[in-house]
Amino acid sequence: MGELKAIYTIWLREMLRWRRDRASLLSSMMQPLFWLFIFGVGMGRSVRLGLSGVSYLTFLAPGVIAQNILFTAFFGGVSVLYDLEFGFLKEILVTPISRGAIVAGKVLGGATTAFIQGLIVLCLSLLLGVRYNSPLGLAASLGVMALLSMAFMALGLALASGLERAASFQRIGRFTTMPMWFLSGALWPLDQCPTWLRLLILLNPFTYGVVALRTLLIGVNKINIALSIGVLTVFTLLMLGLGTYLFSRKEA
Amino acid sequence: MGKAIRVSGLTKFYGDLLAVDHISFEVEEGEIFGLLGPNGAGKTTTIKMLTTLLRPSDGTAEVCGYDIRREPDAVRRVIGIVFQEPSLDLELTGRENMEFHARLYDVPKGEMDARIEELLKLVELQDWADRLVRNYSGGMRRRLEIARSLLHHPRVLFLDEPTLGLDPQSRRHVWSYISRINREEGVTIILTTHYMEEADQLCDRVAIIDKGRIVALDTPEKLKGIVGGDVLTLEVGPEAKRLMEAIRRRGLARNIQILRGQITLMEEDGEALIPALLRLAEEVGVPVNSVSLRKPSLDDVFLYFTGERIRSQAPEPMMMWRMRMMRRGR
Repeated sequence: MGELKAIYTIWLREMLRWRRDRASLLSSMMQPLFWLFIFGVGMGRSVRLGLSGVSYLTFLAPGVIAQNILFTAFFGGVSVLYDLEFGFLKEILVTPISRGAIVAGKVLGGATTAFIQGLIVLCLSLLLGVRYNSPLGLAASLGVMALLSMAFMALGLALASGLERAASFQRIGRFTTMPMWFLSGALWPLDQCPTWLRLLILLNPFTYGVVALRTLLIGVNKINIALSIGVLTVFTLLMLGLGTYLFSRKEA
Repeated sequence: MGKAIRVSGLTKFYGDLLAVDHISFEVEEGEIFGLLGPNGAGKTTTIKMLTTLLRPSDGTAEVCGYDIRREPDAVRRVIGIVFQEPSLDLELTGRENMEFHARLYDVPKGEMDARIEELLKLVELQDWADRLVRNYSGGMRRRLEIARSLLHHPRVLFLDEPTLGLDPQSRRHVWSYISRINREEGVTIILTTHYMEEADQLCDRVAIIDKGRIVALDTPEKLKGIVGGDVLTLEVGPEAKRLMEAIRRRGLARNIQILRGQITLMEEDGEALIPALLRLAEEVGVPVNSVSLRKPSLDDVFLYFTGERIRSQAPEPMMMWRMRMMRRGR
């Protein structure tokens, strides 16, 4: 009971802060709009995917939803370092609640934010004329989006817990998220790239989120959906474990 | 009276550096206990160990009967802390900061709102409760932190430099809140400070700490009693040492300290000593720029034990008069 209330309290704080931060919500919506509206529509004219009945924009949309979740969740991890720099981490660390509960609350908070942003991108894509397969697929994709949010918030938190300063997190973060995004099969189909590139893409955990979303939303299936969800789940658990371990060693 | 804190042989090394050197002391239940010393004396390190934020290198301590090494969770439950640096969420309101704390300490829902109201009133922030802490002044933030630290009814409250960086008016304000919560909440308070007026006015007992060791521990009155009735300070300059030796030879005073061209004498009847001192200064040809006489402060006690001042600037005098002396004499 005490632990659940603690998790809720940490989560609630993240929500209060996020609700007040309109500017960052707006600016984080610019990137997916750019990808969908400019890149998706522009490239769509000149790209032949070899997938019958699927436009490039439709092919791209699940990837852009996943990307927005990746960036929002991953960079949500930096909040640990802002708390450290503003001194608030001391207030949290000196309370009698467990480190595990703090990590759980933080991850749930950041993941909620990322999930809602992913949902907004999903709605945007509908407005831009992307048509998805079935209501059932749409419902199931929400589960994948939630899993993705948890996975990359946990990764961001693990990285932040191993660092001392928010500035270094931002620097390392850019070098981590960009390759994950480009090497995910979000921009082009997996079966049309050379083997070395394919191997890199298959080593990237983010790929499985993109592929799972695409399978559920538009029915293009390149990797078994159960395998994708399995990989994402294992990755999430590993990152939660690593994050909790690194966070527990933190001194305010 | 029970003991709120028992410290025995508490020690902390940072690598090779000995920050806290086998200190032992006890804090009585219900008292305001001060750790007074200059920056770097080991006060904050001691507080961090007692509040389980740092592990001791050696020795241990009990807080309300719980061992800080073996039962850190139990210790955290019975203590409240106000850190030296701010630890508020600036993007939340004062009330939201309070609610966050209350929930983490599992203050029952029915009690929480009333308790928050009561404490905000105690530190006179009720009108500011629903504004973002970002808009608070330094003194208001400090008061909010003090109120917050009391939410879960701690039995011992730790205040690390509670008035650091505050202007004199806010400082006095915070002092009055501290003595009030000590009285009204019956909470034992242990605070660190490098302001001697703070230790003097606020604390029932004071431990003077220097280079990781406790050099003296008693009530402020008794500590000042060690020094004597009056403190005489002569501003001399480069030739201070020569004059000091002359005073020694003449047997005018027993307790003489010299620091940066300033001679300090701690004697029972300081006033009567002034004419003799000035005559002597003229005899040996050492010019005296000014003489001051006042009642001893805790800074003088510190000087008495360590040969150093807590800070270079002059302490706030309780009674002081200055005599500007001409180079030629009267």
